[in-house]
Amino acid sequence: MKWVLYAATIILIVLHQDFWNWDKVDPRWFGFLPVGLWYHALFCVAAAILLWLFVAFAWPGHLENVEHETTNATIKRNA
Amino acid sequence: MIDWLPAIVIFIYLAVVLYIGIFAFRRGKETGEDFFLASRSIGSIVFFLALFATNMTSFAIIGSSGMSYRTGIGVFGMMATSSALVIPLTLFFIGTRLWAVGKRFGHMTQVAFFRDRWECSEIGTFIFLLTAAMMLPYLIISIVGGGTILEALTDGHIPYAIGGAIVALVVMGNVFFGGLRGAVLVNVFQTLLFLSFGVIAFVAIGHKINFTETVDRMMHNPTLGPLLARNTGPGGVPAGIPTVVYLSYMLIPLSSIMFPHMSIMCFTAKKVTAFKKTVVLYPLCIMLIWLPCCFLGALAAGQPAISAAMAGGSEAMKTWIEHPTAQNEPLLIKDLRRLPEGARFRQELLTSKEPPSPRVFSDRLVAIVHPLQASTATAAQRAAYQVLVRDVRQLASSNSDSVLLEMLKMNVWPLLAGILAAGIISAVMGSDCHQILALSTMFTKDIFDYYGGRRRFGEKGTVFMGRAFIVVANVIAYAVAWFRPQIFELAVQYAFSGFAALAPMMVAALFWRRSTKWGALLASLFVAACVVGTGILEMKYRPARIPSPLDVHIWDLGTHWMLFLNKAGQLRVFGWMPVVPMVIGSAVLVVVGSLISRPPSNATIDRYFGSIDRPTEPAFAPVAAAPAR
Repeated sequence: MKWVLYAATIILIVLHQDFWNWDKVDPRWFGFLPVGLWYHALFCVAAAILLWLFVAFAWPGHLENVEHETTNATIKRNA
Repeated sequence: MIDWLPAIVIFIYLAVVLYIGIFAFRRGKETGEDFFLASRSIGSIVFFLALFATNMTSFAIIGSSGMSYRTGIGVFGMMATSSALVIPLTLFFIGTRLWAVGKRFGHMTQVAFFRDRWECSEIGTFIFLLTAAMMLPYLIISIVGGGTILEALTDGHIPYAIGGAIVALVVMGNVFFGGLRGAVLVNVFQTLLFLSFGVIAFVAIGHKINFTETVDRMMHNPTLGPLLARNTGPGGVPAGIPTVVYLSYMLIPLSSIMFPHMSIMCFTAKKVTAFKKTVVLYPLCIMLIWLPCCFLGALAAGQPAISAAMAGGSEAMKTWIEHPTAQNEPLLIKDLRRLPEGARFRQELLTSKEPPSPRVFSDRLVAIVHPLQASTATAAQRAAYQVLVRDVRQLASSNSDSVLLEMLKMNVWPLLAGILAAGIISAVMGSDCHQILALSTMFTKDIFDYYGGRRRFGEKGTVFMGRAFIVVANVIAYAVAWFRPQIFELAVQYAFSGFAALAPMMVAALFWRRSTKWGALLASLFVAACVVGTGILEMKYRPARIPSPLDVHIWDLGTHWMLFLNKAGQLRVFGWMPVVPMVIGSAVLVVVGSLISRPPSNATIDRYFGSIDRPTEPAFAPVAAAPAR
């Protein structure tokens, strides 16, 4: 699943470039919002979905049980 | 009274911020970990709201709308949505692991982690100096933003210098008393305020301005139409965001996790699960703030009254009115002289000796210019109209940071304008609190504590030193902000690029066992050299590019321009922003420097890569602390 998510990330990076919209204002949403803006608004929604998938399927669960230990500096001081 | 209403609302807001700091002071403990990290006790919703406020600066509202006024809606994709993807990813991969090493080994700063991870001392001190030096400009733009807002909102009744001082003092009071707990509590209030800002501003201004009609009008104007597209507009005129610059901006958000105040925020979460909500909500909240700001900023270009008010409030106009000479006379005034009514207006300005409010200036100017495009106007009048519109836009662009405030003042009821302006100022102050506190934490922990201050002066001495540093840093930042450096240029070119280029070092420390302190030193020296080099080149060639309409050539490779300054005076490397070669160079140097030097001891590597990933089976027996007697 992780590799699918990594691939989805790369696809989103490519979609972010949206060179096919560069010269356009239309189609507009609600009659006024240029395509260059609403396309990227949808991109934000897609990014949120991707991150939700990362949390659901690639969460670093092993970090949840980390407990406090000592640092090298503490070790030296106590030596 | 009506004129002062927005300012009164802001003062109430500032008083609330100060009170929250004092409230947090009463609830806090006099320990370093509590003052600097709120005892690592921040829950998940508060963590998200605080982290988001930490990362949103005046840049997100004032800078984005100003840049959209000059460059067009492409700013949204270029700066906001690249951040909407990259920042949550860095939080997911880097932030969670950083939290884990902070929790496990008690680190409070990046440098403390680097020193322990790479078994180094002075190299850590160098990284501290580098990050602290790059942090200061970021601190300055917050004060500049605060001063600009208060000045614009009160039509100059509160001058920029006093407005900046008020914001700096309130921020200082909040963190001086409340430490990180104070900053975080304020952040919750601030984030809610400025998240609602965009939506309310959008609806309120949309109620007054017909968006559809304005967009239609702009599309039929060959100068303004391109602002609604990204590369070229309906008239085929380039709007000014080259492809390589757009691509370069994908790397800028890497800076986020490397800003000391952001990485320190990662240490404050009570549990790593606090990151879950943060990474999912982050892109949506970026959209809520940036989309309205970019749209309204670009749309303001189609509102002559707004542009006229911005031109009236520009520094060039104020300077000429106060000290008029033939040299500093704005082009707009020179061209106005050719019209009888314009010449009278010029004389009025000269005799008044004091700049009129932007609103008054706008009303007068629009009254003069508007009839020139009426259906009864002659060909000469129409030609004069085109020239004056160009002059106004040129002058207004030099004051583009005030675009949103002028829109609010002209289109929204004063009380609502005040509440919305409080939303803007909360974006300024939210990050400012953390920047000052982060600098204080770094100085206290990485220098004062590390070099024996804590042993000599104890826990209370550490907190005292942290508070003293907050005062000193604020005074220095305010002194520099006095000169009013340009918000976007300063932040993006120096701080953002520098921090983004340090990201490979953090990735190596967290994920690459073989990375060494020498790799880190090479990378940070390279970053320092690039940041200084960029500054020197821009300063050296600056006189040549003002007011040059062309790019300024510095150095070429064959027939290709390798180094040049663009028309805005920003350095480009083969057309790319400096951040691109800086990130690549830094990554290469971390790898090369690490491979040619000896890695840290096995014990250290095992602690960071064994015990973090297998927390239930520590590979290294922790040294027991001395028992309390």
